[in-house]
Amino acid sequence: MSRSLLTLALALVCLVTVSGVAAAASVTGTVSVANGTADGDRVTVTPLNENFERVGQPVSTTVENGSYRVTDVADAPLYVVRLEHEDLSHYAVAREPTADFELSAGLSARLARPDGTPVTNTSVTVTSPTGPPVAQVRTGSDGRIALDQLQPNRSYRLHTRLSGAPYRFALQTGTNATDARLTLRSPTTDETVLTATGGNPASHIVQPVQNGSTTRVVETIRLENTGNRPFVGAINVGLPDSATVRSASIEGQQLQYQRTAEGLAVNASLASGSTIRASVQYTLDNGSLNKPVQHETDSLAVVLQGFDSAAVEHSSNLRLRNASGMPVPMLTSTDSLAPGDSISVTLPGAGGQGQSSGSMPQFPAGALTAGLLAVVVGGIAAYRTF
Amino acid sequence: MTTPGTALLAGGTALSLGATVLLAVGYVRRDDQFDTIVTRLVAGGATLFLAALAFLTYQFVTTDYTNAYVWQNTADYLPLLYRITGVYASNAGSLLLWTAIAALVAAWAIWRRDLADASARLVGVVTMGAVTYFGVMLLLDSPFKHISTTVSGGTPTTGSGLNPLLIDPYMAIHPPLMFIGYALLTMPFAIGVAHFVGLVRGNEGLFRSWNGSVTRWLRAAWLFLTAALALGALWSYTVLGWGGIWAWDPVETAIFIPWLFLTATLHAVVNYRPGDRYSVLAPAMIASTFALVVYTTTVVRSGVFRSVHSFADNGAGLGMLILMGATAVLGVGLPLGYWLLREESTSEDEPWLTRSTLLHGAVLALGMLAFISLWGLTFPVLRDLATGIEVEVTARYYNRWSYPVTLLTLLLLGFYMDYDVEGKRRALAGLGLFGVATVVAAVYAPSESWTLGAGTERSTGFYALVGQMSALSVFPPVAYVLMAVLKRGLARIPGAPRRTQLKQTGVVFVHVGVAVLVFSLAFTYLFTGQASVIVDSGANGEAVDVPNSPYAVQTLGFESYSLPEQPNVERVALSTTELQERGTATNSTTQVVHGTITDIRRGPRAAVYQLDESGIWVGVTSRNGTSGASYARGDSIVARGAVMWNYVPQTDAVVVTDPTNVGTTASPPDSLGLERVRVQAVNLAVSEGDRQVAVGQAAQRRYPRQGGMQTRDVLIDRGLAYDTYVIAAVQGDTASLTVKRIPLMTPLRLSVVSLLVGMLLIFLFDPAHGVWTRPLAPTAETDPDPTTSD
Amino acid sequence: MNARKVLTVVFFVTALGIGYASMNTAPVLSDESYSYHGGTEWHTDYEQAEAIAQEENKPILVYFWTTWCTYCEDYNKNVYSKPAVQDRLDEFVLVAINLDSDDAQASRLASEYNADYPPQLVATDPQGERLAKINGYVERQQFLSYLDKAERRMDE
Repeated sequence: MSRSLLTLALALVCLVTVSGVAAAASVTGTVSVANGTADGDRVTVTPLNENFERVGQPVSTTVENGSYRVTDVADAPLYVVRLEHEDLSHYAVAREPTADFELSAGLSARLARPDGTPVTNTSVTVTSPTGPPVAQVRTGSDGRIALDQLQPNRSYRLHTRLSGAPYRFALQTGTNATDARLTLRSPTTDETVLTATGGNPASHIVQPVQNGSTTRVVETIRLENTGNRPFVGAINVGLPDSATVRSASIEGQQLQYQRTAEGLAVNASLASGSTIRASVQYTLDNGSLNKPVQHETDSLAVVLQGFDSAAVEHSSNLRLRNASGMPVPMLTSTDSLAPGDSISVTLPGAGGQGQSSGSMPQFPAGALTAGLLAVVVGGIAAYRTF
Repeated sequence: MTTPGTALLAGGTALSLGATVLLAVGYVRRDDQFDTIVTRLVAGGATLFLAALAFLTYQFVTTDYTNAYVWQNTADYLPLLYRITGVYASNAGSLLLWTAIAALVAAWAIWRRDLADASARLVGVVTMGAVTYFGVMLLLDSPFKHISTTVSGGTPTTGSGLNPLLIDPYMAIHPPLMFIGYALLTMPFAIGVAHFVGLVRGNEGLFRSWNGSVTRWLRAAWLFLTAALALGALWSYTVLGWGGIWAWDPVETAIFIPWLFLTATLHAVVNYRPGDRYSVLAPAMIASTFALVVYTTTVVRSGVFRSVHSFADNGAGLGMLILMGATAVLGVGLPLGYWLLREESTSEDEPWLTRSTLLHGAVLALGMLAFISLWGLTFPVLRDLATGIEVEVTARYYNRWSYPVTLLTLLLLGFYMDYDVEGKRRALAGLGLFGVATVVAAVYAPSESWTLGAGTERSTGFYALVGQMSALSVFPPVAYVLMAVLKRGLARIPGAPRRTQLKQTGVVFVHVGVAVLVFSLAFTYLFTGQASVIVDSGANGEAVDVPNSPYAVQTLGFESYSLPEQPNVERVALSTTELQERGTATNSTTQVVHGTITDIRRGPRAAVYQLDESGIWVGVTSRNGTSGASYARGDSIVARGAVMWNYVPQTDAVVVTDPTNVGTTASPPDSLGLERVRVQAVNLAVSEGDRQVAVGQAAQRRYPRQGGMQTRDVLIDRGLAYDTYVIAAVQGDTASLTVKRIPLMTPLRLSVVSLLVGMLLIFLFDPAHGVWTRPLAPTAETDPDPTTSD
Repeated sequence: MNARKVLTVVFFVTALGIGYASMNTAPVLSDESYSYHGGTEWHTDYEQAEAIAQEENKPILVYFWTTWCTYCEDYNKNVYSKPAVQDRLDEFVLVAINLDSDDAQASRLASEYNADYPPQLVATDPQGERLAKINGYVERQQFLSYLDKAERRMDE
């Protein structure tokens, strides 16, 4: 009885899971436009998982009578809903299968140089906070841009370039988005505005990989421009003396680099308040990783995957974190680091002498032979006794 | 061109064919009028084949290069032993060896037993048929082809040389032992086939009366195969530098399969009871053993499966395939047909746990091991043929499937030995105890290196499961077997008749040998350690520690030399008179000549030297003005070049050459190929801690004339618990050394000796079927009661 | 049905099981155009690989091997299977030549690069000009240094 119940329950569970996987959801919502109508506008729904990766095909529909309904979208924890109204795109990220749009707010701004001269006839990209572009507009002869029919109480970002320097501004509709005065300050080449900050598990990650007698190191630094002007110039990365550089890249794109006395330099430009990811790959002839840090760094980590962390020697500004919960042992900085500080790590199993090239496992021949003899003699004796 | 050797082969084949035909006629007509002449024909055939073998050996010893096979497989510099082993270095010669031994075996069997009855004639038909078949194959691919079929321009002055891998004492004895084993199996095959032919024709079959004879043939074959297998394994240990004795090389496996199957067959024959148990299985297995031999030989020789041993380039393939098909039909098809016609009688009231059932289990377990090896050899080819996808069969396949089966086999063996003296209840208790111990040991690994999968790539499924087992799991079954076998020996041997004592001692030796063998093999592989170090002459005399090992090596010096040490230019090169004798047949061929300069003509682009005031001149052309060394009247020179007869007026022949191919007899040019072996050696003293373990030479030998092939001379210290094994790669004054520590090699060697001694005792003194005892107890060919005798 | 017959049936079922399971789990050595060594994929057609190399201007690495060569297994186990080596091997167009093959191409390559025993590796430029040669088995780091050497000479 109980067994058949269990079987039934199992079958039900299976059915539920199967239908859950295959189920299609529908996403609905309303669209209202101040001084206009959204009827006939196109709505596209894309299902995403928690990591913002697409998990199904995007599905489109049109708005009718101020509302839309998209069916047959794969069931997902997140949906990105895109509404194309006139020349603008609007986005909503929804955890529920419903997203309403209200296009009622306006945005206007004037772009000018510090001396007051307007920045004319320049392209400005307006993006939503999640990233995708909403509109692309050009400044007029007075340096003005204006948009209406945006979503209220939303943060929009304005991106533009002037003489090669990137600029970025954030405006919130309903608060500071009307007649905003945006000053485009001239760029700086001073690297001190760059700070390694905000990264997880650290803003500056050093990962060595043992490869025969050479050690391959990948460094990734998340840099933020904390100044009020854009940075255009060389980003310096400190390297150990014996490093042979394999590649340098910014935001995943390989770039030309120059060797410097302390390490290498790559050219980059970075708007005020924005972040950039720089990474460098190099090899070491030995396990000695001794290098200066070039930026103010809130946290630095040396990942010790594949190394015997107990045998690693390091400078006192690093400490070993090998808590049981951590998947990989790593060294982290005890405090924030200032430009000019050095870190030093000596990795085991690398370099000339301590290199392992074989092993001689211990084999207890004597013990096993004695064991065999004992079983034979003991066994025969036991049979005689019992 | 017919050679004396070919004539001998043709004669032997003809006599064997005649004997086969007359025997067949005699069998069918139940007529004994041919018996006398058949005996003579058989003896004559065997004599002729043996004479052919002796003649070939003689040609090898005297390096008679008029025989192409001799020219291909030997060279003057080789010592006598390796000139003899050249006989079976390649297909044709090894087939001749096999044929000669098979013919001898057939003749001996016919002489011993006479041709008293029809069944003996039938056995004769099959054996002589096999010999005839081999003879025909020999004629098709003869080891006596004249050199003129292979090279033109007369008999070469030097041989091509022997395969370097075969220049080893183990390899000198391994092939003859193996072929003797194979040839001995022809008899059981013939008896098995004749048995079924008899059954099909409505007779009783001849197995009952031939049982004893079969058992002796099988045991003798087992002795030789075991010895051959062991020698082959030890050869690979020292020559191939694997550092282990077994690598599941296809050819090793190819001998191992018939050996396993033969072992299973021996157990089946013990279980045979006329008219009852095993009346089909035992004869069928006997016949199939030979089928397996043929199959695995095909594997080695046909080129279908390639491996380290494929000395013999393709060749004998098709013939072997035909023979394989025929033996498969006779050995497997006939018994199956019989099985279909007549069901084996079963007694329903028989208890499940009997000695006979246990023996059957042993047969099946050994059969399973044989199947695993056979399948590993076969399925890549099947799959390749079927799908075009080449798959790899690694040692992992063999090891991980065989290991659990081997443990079960050992437990079964222990149980059988226990059950035989203790009875059911006590034996079951013992089996339970050791079975549980095995499972526990399989789970407990003292360290990572004890697991069977240690150091190999990750696997999935069954392979991963076995890979996680601890090697300790081999301990309880081995201990169980040792205990049970010794206990049974103690119970059986004292007080028994003398021959029974000797036979039972043999049984103990064989099974103890098996247990020790399995035990040592398992640990030899898992616990072999190695470490490397590079030494150079700068460290002469100083001990250098080998990193990550307890060893230190001391370099005592580097050596390098060539073989032959003093090459004989006069023997390699033709004199002017010899060249004159060979005449225009050498026109446009490349020859080496030597002689003393008696006249010189110099031109702008060539110099021409007259040799020995004869019509033979040497023309040395010089490309773009580089004339090389010039020679004066009276110099002895040697030159290699194309012989051009009637090329230049006033000369008989000109040997056209260039400066790199000419030199004085004292310093001949390299292109003569006088250097056969280049040896680079390092003298070493190896110590472990304070104890010196080995002093000697490790070397590498390079054979320039064999495509630059290299072999290694290893330095081995054979210790009781482990061997220390040093391989060197020497380059000038630098040697890269690999030191291996290989445990339990000595117990392994002893276990092989134990197997051989044990089987020899059984073979000689078995009260029922022993060689010694046979004339005394002609009626005791079958055991009356299966549970008390043996 | 007596015990022996039951055992025999068990035997055949087990044998079938082993046969089927092992045949289907055996590592694939090569299919129509690739052969596999230690998790790396090598071309078997040299001409095809040569064409790829010329197009991408990559050096070629020719690997001479056989099924029975134990040092080749060492390469699979200790060298090719390592991610660090695989990264470097990506910089080459890989060709594996089975020395036991009867293929004319195989014997031509073997004699051209004088590869008479396994394992041997020859690195060449896309035109087949030799850059480096490894005779026999070398340890991982030495293997990589040969690759370095080949790439250096390729750049010259």
